[in-house]
Amino acid sequence: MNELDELARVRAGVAPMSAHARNAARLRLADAMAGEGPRILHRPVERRRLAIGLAFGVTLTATAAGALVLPRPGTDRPSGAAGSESGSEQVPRPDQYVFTETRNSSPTPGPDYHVWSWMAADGTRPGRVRSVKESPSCRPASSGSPAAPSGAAAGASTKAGWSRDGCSWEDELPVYDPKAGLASAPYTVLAQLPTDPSLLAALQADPSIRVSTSKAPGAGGPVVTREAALWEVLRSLAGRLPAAQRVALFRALSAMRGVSIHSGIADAIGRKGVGFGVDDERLGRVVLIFDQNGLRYLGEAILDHDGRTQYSGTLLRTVVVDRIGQLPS
Amino acid sequence: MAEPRAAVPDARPETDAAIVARSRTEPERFGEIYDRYADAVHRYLARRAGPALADDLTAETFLAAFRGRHGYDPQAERALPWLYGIATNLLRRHARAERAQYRAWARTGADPVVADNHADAVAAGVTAEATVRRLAGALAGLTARERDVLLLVVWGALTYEETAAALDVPVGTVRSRLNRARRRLRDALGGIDPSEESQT
Repeated sequence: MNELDELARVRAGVAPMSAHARNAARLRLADAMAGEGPRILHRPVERRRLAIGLAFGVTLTATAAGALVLPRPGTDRPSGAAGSESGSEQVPRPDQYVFTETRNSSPTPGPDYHVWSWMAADGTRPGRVRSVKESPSCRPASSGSPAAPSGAAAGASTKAGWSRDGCSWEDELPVYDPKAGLASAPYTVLAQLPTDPSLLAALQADPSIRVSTSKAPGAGGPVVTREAALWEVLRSLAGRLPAAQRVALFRALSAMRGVSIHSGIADAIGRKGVGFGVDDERLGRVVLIFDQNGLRYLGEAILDHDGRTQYSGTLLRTVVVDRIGQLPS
Repeated sequence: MAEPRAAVPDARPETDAAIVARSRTEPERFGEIYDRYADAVHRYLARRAGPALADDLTAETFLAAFRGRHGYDPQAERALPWLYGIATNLLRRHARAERAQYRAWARTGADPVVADNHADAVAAGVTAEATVRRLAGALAGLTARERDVLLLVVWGALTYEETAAALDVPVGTVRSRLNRARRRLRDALGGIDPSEESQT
């Protein structure tokens, strides 16, 4: 063993990049990509996906097509939702907006992100997304709380990109383009999806699902299974699904092959529910968390190989509002 | 329950050069470069500067690469050396801190960047810890240019030619800097036989 071999062993056990850091860096790159170049046809589509990905997790890309089926998992399956009741959930008019509030966090050092988005219910008008970094340098000294948007001014500006202090980021959600697929579909489109087991077939046939079964030569590119690609879409839309479709999704995932079931899993704010996990080579095990009956989507967790949460995207609320910038009381 | 779709033959993955070229007119394609190499770049940076700084520098590396993609050498099929070169340039802003942490490591035996290394070294034996401390001292004593070449070859696993491309210097310069760096490492390890120590 020579001196170079000895040096090669030094710090060989350095911690891998966390999902939180990977997501944050990806979003910074996405912001740069969205802000440059000619406005080609699918750029608004990508921007919409990326912005929605910011609100509901990570949006990734794959390069090739293919299919892969995971082995049958264990038999510990939840019983499914008690019914398809939608309770008192609000149904937006086409001229209204669906407001969502999400908190993206990680136990590893680094800022958390608080995300507000306003998406046109019918997708015919632009929406808005705003993300605020939660870190000591971004907390107003007076309140000690993150710089939350306030009143009608929130998210109502036309400016896109990072704020000058680097503490917040805003972008427009472009008008919906059906070519973008379901990941960025508005409420009225999602409401047309089946409310029975055929829902899964409709989701799996979505054009935004991109699978890669082989690595680029010498590049170490990630393998993206069909399940991982489907989960990428589900992560974007689960928080905006109408109640009937959400319950149908819960039932479908409960019976889906290749999915791990995480009973009693808690989200980042302690709400317990049922998680449905798929291993994604790019991120870890991605778990979508619903409440026990499948009536509410709570958010997502990304687990490492030891089952520890390395990233959480917690859906705090989904509310119908009349205009961009309006915050529910 | 839906039936899985029929298997579709894999399309041949595009080379890095092709993706970078496409990203000039389709900027979002550059995300594929990120997906391929973010982990590798972060690992290289984390070994040199620690995971916390590596988080920021990885993001900066890909932003700088994206902005500089028009200057990418279309003959370079693999983008990793290019990315390592950008990362190494960014690290130079922190060269003083990097050298200081190698010195501290050599002095105390505790790695200020990767906390578990100290415990690993102790577990591996006193001689192993002494070797690591001597290596850390040698790294602190290298010039920034020598250290860049050495660590791109050893921690970045680049060839001499790739290292030359990453640093934009002739291959001969890489060889001479590496030779000087190796000599310093050997001098630092002078009192220890690594082959004997690896068996402790």
